[in-house]
Amino acid sequence: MNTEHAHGDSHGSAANDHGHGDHGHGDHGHGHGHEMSFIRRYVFSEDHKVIGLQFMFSGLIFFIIGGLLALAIRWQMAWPWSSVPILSRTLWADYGSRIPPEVYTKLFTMHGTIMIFFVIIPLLNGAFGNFLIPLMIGARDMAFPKLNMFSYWVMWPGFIIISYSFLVGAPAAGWTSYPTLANTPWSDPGSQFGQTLWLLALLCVGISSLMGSVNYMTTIIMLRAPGMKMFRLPMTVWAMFITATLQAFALPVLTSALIMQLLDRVVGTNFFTPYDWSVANGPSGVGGGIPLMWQHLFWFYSHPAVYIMILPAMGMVSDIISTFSRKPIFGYKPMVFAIAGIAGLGFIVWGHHMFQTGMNPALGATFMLSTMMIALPSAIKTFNWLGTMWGGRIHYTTPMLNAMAFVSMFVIGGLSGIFMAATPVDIHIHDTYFIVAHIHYVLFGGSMFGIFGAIHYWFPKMFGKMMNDKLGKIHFFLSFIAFNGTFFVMHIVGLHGQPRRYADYTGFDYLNNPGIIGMNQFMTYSAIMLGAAQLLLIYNFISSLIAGPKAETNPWHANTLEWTAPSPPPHYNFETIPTVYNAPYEYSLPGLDKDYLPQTERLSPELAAATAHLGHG
Amino acid sequence: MTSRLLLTPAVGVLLLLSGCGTIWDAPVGYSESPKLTGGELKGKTKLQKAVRAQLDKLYGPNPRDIRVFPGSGLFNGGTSLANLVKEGKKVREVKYEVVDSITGKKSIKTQHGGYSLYRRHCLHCHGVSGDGAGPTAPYLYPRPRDYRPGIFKFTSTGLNKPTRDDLRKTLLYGIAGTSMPAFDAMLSADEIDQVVEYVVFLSMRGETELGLIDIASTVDEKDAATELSDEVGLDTAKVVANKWVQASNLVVDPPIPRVIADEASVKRGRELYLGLNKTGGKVECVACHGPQAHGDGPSFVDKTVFDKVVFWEKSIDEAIDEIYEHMIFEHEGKVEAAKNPKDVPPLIAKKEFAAKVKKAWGESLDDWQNPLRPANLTLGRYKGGRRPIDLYWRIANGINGAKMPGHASAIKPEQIWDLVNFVIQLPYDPNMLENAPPPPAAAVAER
Amino acid sequence: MRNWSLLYIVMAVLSVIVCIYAPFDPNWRLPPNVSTTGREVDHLFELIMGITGLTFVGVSIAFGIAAWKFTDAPGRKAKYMHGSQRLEIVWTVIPAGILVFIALYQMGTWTKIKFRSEAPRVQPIAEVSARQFQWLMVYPGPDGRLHTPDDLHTVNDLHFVKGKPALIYLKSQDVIHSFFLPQMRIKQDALPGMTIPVWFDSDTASTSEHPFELVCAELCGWGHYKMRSKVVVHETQAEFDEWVKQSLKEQNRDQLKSAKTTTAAVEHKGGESL
Repeated sequence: MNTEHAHGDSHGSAANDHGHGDHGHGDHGHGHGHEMSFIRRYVFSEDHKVIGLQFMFSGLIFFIIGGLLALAIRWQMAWPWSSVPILSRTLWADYGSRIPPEVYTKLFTMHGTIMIFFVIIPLLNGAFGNFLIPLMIGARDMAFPKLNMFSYWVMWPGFIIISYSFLVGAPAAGWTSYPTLANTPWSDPGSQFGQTLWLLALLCVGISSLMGSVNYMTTIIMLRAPGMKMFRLPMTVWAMFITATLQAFALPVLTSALIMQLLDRVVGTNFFTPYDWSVANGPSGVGGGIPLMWQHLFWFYSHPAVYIMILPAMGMVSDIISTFSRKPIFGYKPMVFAIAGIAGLGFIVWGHHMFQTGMNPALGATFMLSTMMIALPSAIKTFNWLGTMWGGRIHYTTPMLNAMAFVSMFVIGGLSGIFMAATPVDIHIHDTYFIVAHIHYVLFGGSMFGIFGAIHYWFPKMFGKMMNDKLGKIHFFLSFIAFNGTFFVMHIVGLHGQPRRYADYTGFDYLNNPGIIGMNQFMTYSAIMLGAAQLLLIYNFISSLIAGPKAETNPWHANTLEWTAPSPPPHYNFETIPTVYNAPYEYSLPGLDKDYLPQTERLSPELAAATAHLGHG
Repeated sequence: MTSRLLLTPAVGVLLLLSGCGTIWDAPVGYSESPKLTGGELKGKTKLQKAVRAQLDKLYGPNPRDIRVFPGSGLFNGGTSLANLVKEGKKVREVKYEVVDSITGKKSIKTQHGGYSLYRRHCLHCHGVSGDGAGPTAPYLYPRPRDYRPGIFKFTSTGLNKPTRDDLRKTLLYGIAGTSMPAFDAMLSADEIDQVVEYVVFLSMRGETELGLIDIASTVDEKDAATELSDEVGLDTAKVVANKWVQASNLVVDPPIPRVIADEASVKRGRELYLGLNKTGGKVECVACHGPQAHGDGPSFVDKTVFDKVVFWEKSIDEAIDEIYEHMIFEHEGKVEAAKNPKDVPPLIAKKEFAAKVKKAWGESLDDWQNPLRPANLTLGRYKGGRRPIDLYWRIANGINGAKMPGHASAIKPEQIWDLVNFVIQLPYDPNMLENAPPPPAAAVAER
Repeated sequence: MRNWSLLYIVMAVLSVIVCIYAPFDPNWRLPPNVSTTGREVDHLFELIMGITGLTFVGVSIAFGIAAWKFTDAPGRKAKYMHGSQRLEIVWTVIPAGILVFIALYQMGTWTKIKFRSEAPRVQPIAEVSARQFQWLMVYPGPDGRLHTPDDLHTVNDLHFVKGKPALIYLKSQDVIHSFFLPQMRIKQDALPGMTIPVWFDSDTASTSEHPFELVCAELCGWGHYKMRSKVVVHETQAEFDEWVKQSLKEQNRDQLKSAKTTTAAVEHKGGESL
């Protein structure tokens, strides 16, 4: 307790120091780290870097689980009701060696839930947000280190609960858990205790995110190093900042919705169950609720959540592209405004998930307009990334390849979004595989490739070791091909009308033909390849962690502050709190002998004056 | 060699299905009746073995290797059960002809076979053996049918086996108010027939198993080989098969046409329903279906208990505890509100209450020991079909395996038609029973 | 190193090839449309396909050039620049204009398909209620009114007449389902506790053997995929009326002993040795 106190004090003083602009304070705070027990250092750590890595490891483990679930789904899609490797022998030997249909609904429910709430959000916000924000703004730690620790450990009940739900009957109402299917235990095999657990697990994740977002906002506003003006922040930090704001405003709504459904299920309230209604030959309750209300509340969070799942990746990709194009980012301020615009508009577009639900169609028309408008900032960002690459000197490193894949896949994901924003077209493609294709182009083609890029990019900083570039490139190559093989075809079968969440589409004449079945089998082969490719990432990650070559402080010759800290950074990040003199993307500044200019390096007054007209600042 | 003699005319049916026979495939086998290893035959392994051997010879060892004995009565000698047929040493695909009713064009299709269709559409509820214990089954109320005892609820033949048409109707239109879906849009007419044959096959197999177990439990273990010979096996199976063959001759047709469904007939039906009729025999509908026809008559366990046990998955004791607690609470309220607390009748003792509920619970189970509820007749959902003839059969013949008795002997056919007319009218006019008197407390319908 | 740019270029070219090939393969495009409003939906789809396709081609070309041309090479220096206000304005205003155009252009179609004020002034053809896992249809009987004892009840069997607007009332008995007619470009969720009018038409007749299909498009439980219904479009009103009459006759059957008919709606057809 004493050492911890000493910590808090010394850290507190360091934080105050920023406020006074008294840089160069030689605190050597990292020295305290050595006195801590293993548990305090690596398990219940308050160090933002350790917490970030904890988020990353748990996120990657759930990524594997979610991926395996996806493969089981694809197996059923390609060869409906055939024997599934391993599972048929172990689980369904007494059931004709085939998957029971309710298990299929559980598979895609858990796949969606895990990938969204336990992989992408924790990886982007939890892992990279935690690791990067203090390093990039030149702080010793988060504003509230203890809160930060809680934000990770409150995930654990969530991890345990969602994993436990596999044992007691996983939820099966889709990752959206619409009532009235999810409301009563007897309405579906997946709506039993597992659904209650789903709600509890999401509550834990929500609390964690809320703690994180409060912390991020405070840290970014209060703990920036001297000279780090808001418009000198790297795009990653901007994205994290805006994401945190989004979360802070949207999460309370989801939390209340989760609690309402929990009350409906456990206490017997009727928020979402209408009057004179019964399901699965069960008793009818009192009723009087509105099933649509859940959708409004859920999407009021979950639409912004879509941006929570992409904005941080956009930020990181901006950093990576600028670094490896050796060129300042094109339109820094428009990029910031675009992110802010997405966040702002993100709150008034939730209804586009509900065009066909029986929501007043006039309301649908309004949401259509706002949804069309949200495509605009995304387009601006894409053009700016192209502008950044244009005229650059592109280094095809693994992070850059992944970041470029992000851009090219996001273009497809963004453009396909316009189809469903157009309400009449959405009538046909709503709830078909077209939507599945779209969400995967944004979340896998976008966010996941962003995460792959970020892992390869910041790995040296995280662990002080380099990852194997060749393996990284093979992994990227296979993932990129297999990804497109899996998800591009989904657009086509979706347009043809293959509904999502179907265990078997072959009972329908318009789908039961060699063309559609063949495409589904092609997708499955691609998905298996995509899954196999991730083994390379795991191998590369682990082997580099153990035996990778030592990384220098700034292996990529990047500008932002984290690259001035040692690799890996000590407990308190910086020997001395750095002072920032430059914008974050001053690459290839004319008149300089190197093609980068770290934010901490002061230009000679002559050079500064000579380059001022070029926009240096 | 009796066994060779037996198998020569028998049709052996082999199955090859897409996805089967792969390295990750699990073997598929029939489940056994608990009576085979428990009860009388417990520990008598020789007898158990003999029963198993007979079953394998008669019906094949597993669903991928189906055998059909001569005289099974199955359509086309059982060839619709599979996609490949082996006769002697020859193996061939089964094909059938389809005629387009519009164009008249003929085309030849390769048969999927009953097992393949059953595996895809039915097995996850009804189980590999037709034991109603598929993976989805535990989540459903009412529970999926176990075919093995050979009892089917909705027949046109009274207590006898259903006709193929009865089963076909169930498959085509489903069973309203249950989880049995309608398959008329999912399967073609030929495919429906193949599934029907397979269901009959499974039912015959299950009933033969029970028959063999009955025989086995009467003989000594050392006589296993002689007492459970191939002849005995075949005879047992044929007894079962004959019941199915006979079914189509046993359809109960009403002797008089439907009484015109006018106001007078509905009114007579109402009086019959409530037991208020002056003439003719009496029926006690109210005892089960309740005075308002909500399916809450006193002969069945209270609906609160039922809902708690079946849907909230509480044990019966938990349900009793909860309800009794509520009764105490209500009683206290009454005592407080009453001018003279002594006027309020005392609350029933918990022990007595629990015994009453448990007894009622025990009487509210069907022949498969699954919980049962009388139909709520105001919803317009008719499990056995909504045609007048279906309702006539339900009322006249009852529902096999359930508590609904046949009333053909108690009342006259025209009275049955009156009841039918009343039941059809009721959902549109539920206030017909608004002021119905409560049923006499002692009324309990007996089968 | 430059070859890596080819990966993105090849992928973009393949995507374009697929999009060009798709219209020529019946399985690679929207199912054939049979309804009036469906034509408008298809037109909109094609329009958006065109706009997004051109955008994709443009962006891909820019991306390809950037990736190919500006690969790191010895002696080459990156251009130091922070952006261009003019370009930013151009690529904000033009897409904004296009997006607003699409949004406004489609309003009419949306209104026609969904706004209740646009519903055809006809008698409803049926009430369709969804339940786990089937579609229950109730057609008005001879009295022309719903919810009377002479109604015709069918399961998974929707009938209407060619060339006439068909209006149904959509309900759900238990959970949320979705009424999806792929060939008519109609989708509407069925919500418990709500009755929603849905209207559509067809310019093509279909039969019970080769029907159009009604699909459930909202997850409704383990049997979601079982919710298929036939959609039969009758050539004439008379044919439809005859179907109602015949179905009612079967529904009202009392099966007199003297007038015994075979119940078999289905006849066994061959099967022995073909």
